[in-house]
Amino acid sequence: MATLSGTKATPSSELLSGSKKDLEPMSQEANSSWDPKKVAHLLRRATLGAPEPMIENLVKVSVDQAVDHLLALEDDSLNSDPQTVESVRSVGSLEGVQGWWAHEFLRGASPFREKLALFWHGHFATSAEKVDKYRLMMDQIQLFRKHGAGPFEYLVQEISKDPAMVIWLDGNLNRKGTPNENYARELMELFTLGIGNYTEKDIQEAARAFTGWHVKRGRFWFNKNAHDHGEKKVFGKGGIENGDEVVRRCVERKASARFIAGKLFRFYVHPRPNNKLIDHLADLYIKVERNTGAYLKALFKSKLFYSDEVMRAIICSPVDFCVGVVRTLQARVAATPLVEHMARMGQELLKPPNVKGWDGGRTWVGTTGLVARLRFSLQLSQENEDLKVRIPWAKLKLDPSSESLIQDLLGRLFPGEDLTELVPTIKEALGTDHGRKELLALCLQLPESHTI
Amino acid sequence: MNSQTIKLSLLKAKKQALILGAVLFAGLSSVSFASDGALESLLPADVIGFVKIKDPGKAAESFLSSDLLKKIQSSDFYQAMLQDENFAKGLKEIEKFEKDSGFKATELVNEVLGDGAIVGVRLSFPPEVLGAVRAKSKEDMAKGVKKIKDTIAQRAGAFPETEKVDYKGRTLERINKQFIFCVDGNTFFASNTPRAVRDMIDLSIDKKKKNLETSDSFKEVFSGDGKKGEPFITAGVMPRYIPGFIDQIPREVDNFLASLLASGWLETLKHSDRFSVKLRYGSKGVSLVADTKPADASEALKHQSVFFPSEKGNLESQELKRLLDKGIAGVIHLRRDMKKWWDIKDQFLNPKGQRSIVEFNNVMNLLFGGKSFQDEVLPKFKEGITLLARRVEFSELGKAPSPALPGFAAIFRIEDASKFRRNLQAGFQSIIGFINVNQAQEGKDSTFLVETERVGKVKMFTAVNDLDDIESKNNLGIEYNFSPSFAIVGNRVIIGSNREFTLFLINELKAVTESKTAVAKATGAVDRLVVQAEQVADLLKINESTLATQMVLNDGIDREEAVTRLKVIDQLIRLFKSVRLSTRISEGQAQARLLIQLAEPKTPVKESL
Repeated sequence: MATLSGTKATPSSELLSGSKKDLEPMSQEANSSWDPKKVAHLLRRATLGAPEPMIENLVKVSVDQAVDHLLALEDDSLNSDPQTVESVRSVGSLEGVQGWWAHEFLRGASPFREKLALFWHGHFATSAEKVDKYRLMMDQIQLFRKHGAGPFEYLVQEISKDPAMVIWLDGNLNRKGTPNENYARELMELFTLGIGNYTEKDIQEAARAFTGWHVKRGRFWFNKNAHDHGEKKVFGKGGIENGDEVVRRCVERKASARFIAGKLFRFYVHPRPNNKLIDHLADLYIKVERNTGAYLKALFKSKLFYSDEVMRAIICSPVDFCVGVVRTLQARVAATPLVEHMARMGQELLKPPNVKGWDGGRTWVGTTGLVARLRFSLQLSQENEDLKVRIPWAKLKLDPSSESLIQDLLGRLFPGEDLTELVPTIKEALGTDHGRKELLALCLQLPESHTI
Repeated sequence: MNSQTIKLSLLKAKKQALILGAVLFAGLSSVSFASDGALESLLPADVIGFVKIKDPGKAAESFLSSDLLKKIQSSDFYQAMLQDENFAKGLKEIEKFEKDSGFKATELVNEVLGDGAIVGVRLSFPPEVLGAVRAKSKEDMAKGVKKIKDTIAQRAGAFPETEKVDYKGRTLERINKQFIFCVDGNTFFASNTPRAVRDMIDLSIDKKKKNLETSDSFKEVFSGDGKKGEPFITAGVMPRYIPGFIDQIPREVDNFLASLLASGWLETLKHSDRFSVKLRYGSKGVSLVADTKPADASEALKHQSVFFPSEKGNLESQELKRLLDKGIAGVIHLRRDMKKWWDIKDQFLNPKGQRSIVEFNNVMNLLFGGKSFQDEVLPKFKEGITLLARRVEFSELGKAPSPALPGFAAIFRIEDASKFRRNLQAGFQSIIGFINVNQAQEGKDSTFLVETERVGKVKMFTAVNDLDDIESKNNLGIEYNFSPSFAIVGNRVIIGSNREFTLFLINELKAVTESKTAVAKATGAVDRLVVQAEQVADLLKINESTLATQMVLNDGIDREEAVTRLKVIDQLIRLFKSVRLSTRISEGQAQARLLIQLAEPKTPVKESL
């Protein structure tokens, strides 16, 4: 992507290297600084967007305290409005569930929780194209929201029994004598280990362990008459009674640690870690007992996370772009039309394109995606009625008559970054007769707006 | 001050029609006696369209002292309106106008417009717009004109100079080239051509000349008001003179339902020579009556017996009244000769519509399992079809599902309906069977079972969804609204979306059938639509949570704001009692009557001393 500024807004294609020391907390470094630029970087990566009030609050505390605060999730609380959840679930329409989740992205108390749930939604890619009981899709999303930051093993055991997942991977066809390998294969290849870390025999035996794991009337049902109670061996070891044990065996393998730690790293930190770094990441992941929340905390506190190579290394997904800019501007938009915009950009909630989820990276910024992003930028900046946009211009202190309007807006969108050199170019592009809406539309087309 | 240098910013900013309207409130010093007679007698007979307002002052006074206004002003809706930028701006404009002109807005309406106003259009080159306003007295007119002139002078710097011409002792004045007016006693004439103003003056002098009131096109509109008195607003138009209007009315539609509902009216409008509307108001509400007069009645109402078969005096009126009294939220009652419509349907359906008929026929053959719908069932269809909606109590479930949809039902009247019972039962079971097979193929768990029960002598068949155990559920989803059922009561076939609603209809229709009450007097009605406001408001109220959620997700607002909006909607709806639309044919003319009834006060209103 070309950049107006000459700053490094284009993610590098080089592999990222790093040592164990780089994964140590930044707070242990004597002359490390904690400034608005780093705070904004943390907010954009760990959550969605970087609104000014959050930056002001977090810059006053230490990096460790900031990370702990952002990643704090109350036990057993999803912070959703129970009436909204009940209404959406009762109607059970696709648009309702999509709109509800988009609403949680926009207004939810914990954008960290929502972004992590989005990661798991892409990882355990289940699509409403096939699972057309949309309440079950909603239940799956709730599972990710509730347990996504906890122990990975527990999450996988729960997802193995999730009705939407069972339907998605034809679990009801998996019976003694005629095992269906769909779930066992995806469990190993896509969910826990990655290609090459298991054998066909492992898949066959694992499939037998999952026989009888069915769904009846929208609930998980262990159909003991369809279950193969015989001896199974996975990874060369017997003593497997059922699927839970298979999950435990998969997750405890070093390959799983490399696979999951690497995937989380690519989503949150940098898209191309080298193998050595992945080894270190796996060790860190094992050290925190494969607890996702603890692992992410360690990453967000690390020196590597705040290095120049990592800053702006990720091309943001449609959710990151749309929700990020809305939250950064402390604006309001309606959730339901926002879902359509994100779908046009290539990320329709509840409908990942295939079993591998969304590829991400440069696939987000193909022609169709860029045109859709432009369209959203224009509608947002013009405060389009369909999108029900309300931008608090006064609160953002963006006075259209101010001489420093351009600098002020750049400061809101990209806090802590010195983009002064962009100002003359922007002025020339806009001409003299422009307002803050035209300026915002232009700024949202900068490469800086599409990388985090 | 030179008129050419005077800034006419106020006049320049408005379109011609608005200028005419604004200055219709004004008048110049009168030089002769006021005109009398009906306002319509002041417009020429060759006007092709007009609007008349009668006694607006009285209407304004009536509204300002009404309970309705008090209710509106004390409502959250009004408070919300006051917060609205545009509404507040509008109120400020009125305030400013009153301050500048020295007029209260109500004075303006009461005095200057006291008797009324009429505006018409006449075809010529250029088209002429003619208007006449009549004050209660010539003094009122003069006072009003002066104040308006002063207001305009204040805003524009000076009142523009006018060219004056004498005509039969009256003074015609002209501003620019397109606005000519004349004050004659308590009447103010205005138009965009001098000829039109002269014509109106002539008519005011010579009552025997043919005018709008006595014109062939519109005389019937002005006669026949009788005891009801003149309407508040009367309007009329000859559609053939509206460019492109007739051509845009389609002859063919793309589905059979649209044809059943609307083809008759579309034909009538297409052949309409005159279309008129009358609006009346009273303490109980507002009524709007629209009439069409065909150029050629035989052509326009060629299919009258198909689309407009009038009620000849049967049980339908009694049934509808009873159901409405028992809390029906809305009803559409249509009278169509289905058999005759079937024979001529191809005239009214485009190719897509004709395909929809094939599908419809197949479904109906299935529903009347074993019978040919077209040949054996359709000839037995009688003319009344009723569609209804009502709130369901869900007493069987113990709690309402969320959302709690109204029950829907259709009532068809079929001769010898009982002879079709077994066929309908077979058809119903077949349809349910298909649904179950489809569910199974899609891997869905739920299954419909058909249960039979007796309600006196009537058998009711219900498809019950084999859903989960209700007691264990905290809330019931949308699917719990549906338990499709049907029954036959006398010659009525009832098909309902919900067992409880079907049971209700069975009991109510049985009561009408079994009563000894004489058959209702013929009303001549064709179609009827009734919506009862309180029932609709109740339906919205019980679904408040669902509706609020929709607003939160679709409008990007907080839940609190959504609930406030719903409260405002509830208050607005409850200002009314009902909306009733009925159609009839009368002496070759098709008529539609809309009645908007206001809610009656719950407690007696104390008279002020």
